[in-house]
Amino acid sequence: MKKVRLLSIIALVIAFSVLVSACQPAAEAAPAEEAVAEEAAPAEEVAEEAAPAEALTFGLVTKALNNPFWEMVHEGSLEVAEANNVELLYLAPTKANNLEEQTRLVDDLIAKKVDGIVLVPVDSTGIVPAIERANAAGIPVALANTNAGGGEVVTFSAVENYDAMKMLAEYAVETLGGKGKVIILEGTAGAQTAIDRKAGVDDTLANYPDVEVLASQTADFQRAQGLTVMENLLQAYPEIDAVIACNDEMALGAVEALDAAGRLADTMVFGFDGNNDALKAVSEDRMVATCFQNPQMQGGDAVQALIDYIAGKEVPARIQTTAILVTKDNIADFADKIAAAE
Amino acid sequence: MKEFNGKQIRQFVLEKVPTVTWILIVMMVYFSVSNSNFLTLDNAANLCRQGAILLILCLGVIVVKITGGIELSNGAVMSLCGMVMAWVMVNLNLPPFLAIIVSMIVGILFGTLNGVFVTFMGIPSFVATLGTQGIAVGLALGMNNGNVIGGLPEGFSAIGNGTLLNIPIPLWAIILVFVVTSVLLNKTPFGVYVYALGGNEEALKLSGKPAWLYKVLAYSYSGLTAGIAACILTSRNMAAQPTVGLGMEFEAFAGAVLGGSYIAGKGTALGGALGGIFILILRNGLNILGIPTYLQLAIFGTVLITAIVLSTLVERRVQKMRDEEREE
Repeated sequence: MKKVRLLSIIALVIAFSVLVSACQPAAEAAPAEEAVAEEAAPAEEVAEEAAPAEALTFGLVTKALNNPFWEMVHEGSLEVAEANNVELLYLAPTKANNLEEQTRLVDDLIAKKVDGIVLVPVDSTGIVPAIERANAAGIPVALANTNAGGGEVVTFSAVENYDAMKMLAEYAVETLGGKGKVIILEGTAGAQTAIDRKAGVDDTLANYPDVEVLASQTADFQRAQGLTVMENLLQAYPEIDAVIACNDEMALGAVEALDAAGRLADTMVFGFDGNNDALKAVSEDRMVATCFQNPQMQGGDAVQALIDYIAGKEVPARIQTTAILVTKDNIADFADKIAAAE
Repeated sequence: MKEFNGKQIRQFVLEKVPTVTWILIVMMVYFSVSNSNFLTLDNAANLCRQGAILLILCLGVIVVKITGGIELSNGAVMSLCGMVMAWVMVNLNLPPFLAIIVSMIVGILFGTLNGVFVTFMGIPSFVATLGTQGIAVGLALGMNNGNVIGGLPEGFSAIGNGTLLNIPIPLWAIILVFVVTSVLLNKTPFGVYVYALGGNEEALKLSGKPAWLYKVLAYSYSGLTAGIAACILTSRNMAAQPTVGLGMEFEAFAGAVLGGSYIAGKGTALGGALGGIFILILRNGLNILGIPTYLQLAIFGTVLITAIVLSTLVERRVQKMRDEEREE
């Protein structure tokens, strides 16, 4: 029995080690080094100390794992990081948009003593102390997509959510001909981007008294939620002219619901983000428009700014990513992204 | 005095030391060897600060767990407590220490509500606490139209970020809650009844003792821990977000189960704390090694199941030893 116990513990250790080392990003880049480090830990330390200037390590922390948008921010960041020989660690809260978990991730990166952090704050106010802790530890922070209310940051690379959403809402009203029955799908209650985009839609529609807002409900920025919320709304309202969703995932969920109910032809769907699936939906006339906010560039610019900052170069405090309204007219420009969705 | 032989010592160790301890030691050695940033004072302080929230929740959950109940509302209640305390500080200009008391009262109220549902209405704890979770999230979101409450008084930051005698204040909070939970479970009638509730509730009822009172109190205590955890959480972010605690209930519950209380009537404060530490260190270590999050989830699940299987094996072994002893 004692042997069994001992064996199971050994098995656990081996299983754990194999799993962990198989997953370590360093293993891909330098398998030989990894093997050495595994056998003798001090060797790793020596290697780290010997070449501190060359290989920078950045941490990227986004808001969630289940939204392809953040994967695109990661993609863009990774591209710039790899081109500059920077190792990029990607972390995100397992509970989507969870501030407590995101704070933990930033603190862990500080403890790991990374050279820089690219952060997409879940909440602009609540993340401030974590940024201040990074400041205190001397680790530069660059923000992408969502701003923070305080702390010192190298730069903030994003579209202006409020303005971009206004642009989209104006286009929606124009397509509707200035009147109609509209449903708004809001983002996660309390999330900064959700608040900004909702304000953008509300402020636009307020100027058009003939546009009637039937309902404005949250679908948590998620596709599955967009589907169920829309299914319920379809029961309640026999006539819906347009759905304005504050992100593409919810818009795509609404498209599914409308399609299943056979009402997609009567209702125009507008999204925001410009993720690959949504671009494809625009090309297939399932969605009318979305707002491409170039997530790859948002991430990539933030990484580049950190690299420049560490190299002692001047970095602008705000990097404006241009938002592009995507409609049937210019969808051809996004052919490569649509191909990626297939 | 009776002499102890090797077998007795082994039985004693297996019985008294939660199995998760060994796995924890193995894990910590592995992380320390793999990355030089894991075993540092900085990271220890980091773990104390970020860990206090989960650990304190675990210590509340384990009490409910010992009575045979399940607690799913504490994450949401913690969010609500945070919102209420931030609200009273911002809108009523209440000093932080009063806001802390308010937070604890809200926690106790919701815990007691759980207890009342479970005890008097016969609702299974799983359903009752899921219901209060919904109520708490709804209220938290409604308080400020889903928005965050920020702009808290400067001094409030000390709770989550300050130190007392060079020790992070969250660590003091862990120690305090740990000692209180230990004393409650081991030295008071409350503890006796909590274990009895999990062991054989019917027998306790037939004995004519007020079983209901202690059952309600067990849930109230878990609510109180949610209120305390909310103080640290809100202070760490210097803002209260309405959905911040969602999902924490599962981590806390997993911690409580890992700590040895997967059977009703079993479990200790030490076990609950170690279970929480286990989850915390696993996540922290994987982050420090730089493992991508999606792989972390798979590793997390694997290790969790392995740990519980191992605990079960040890539990069976101890049971067998006891049976053998009785036969002798």
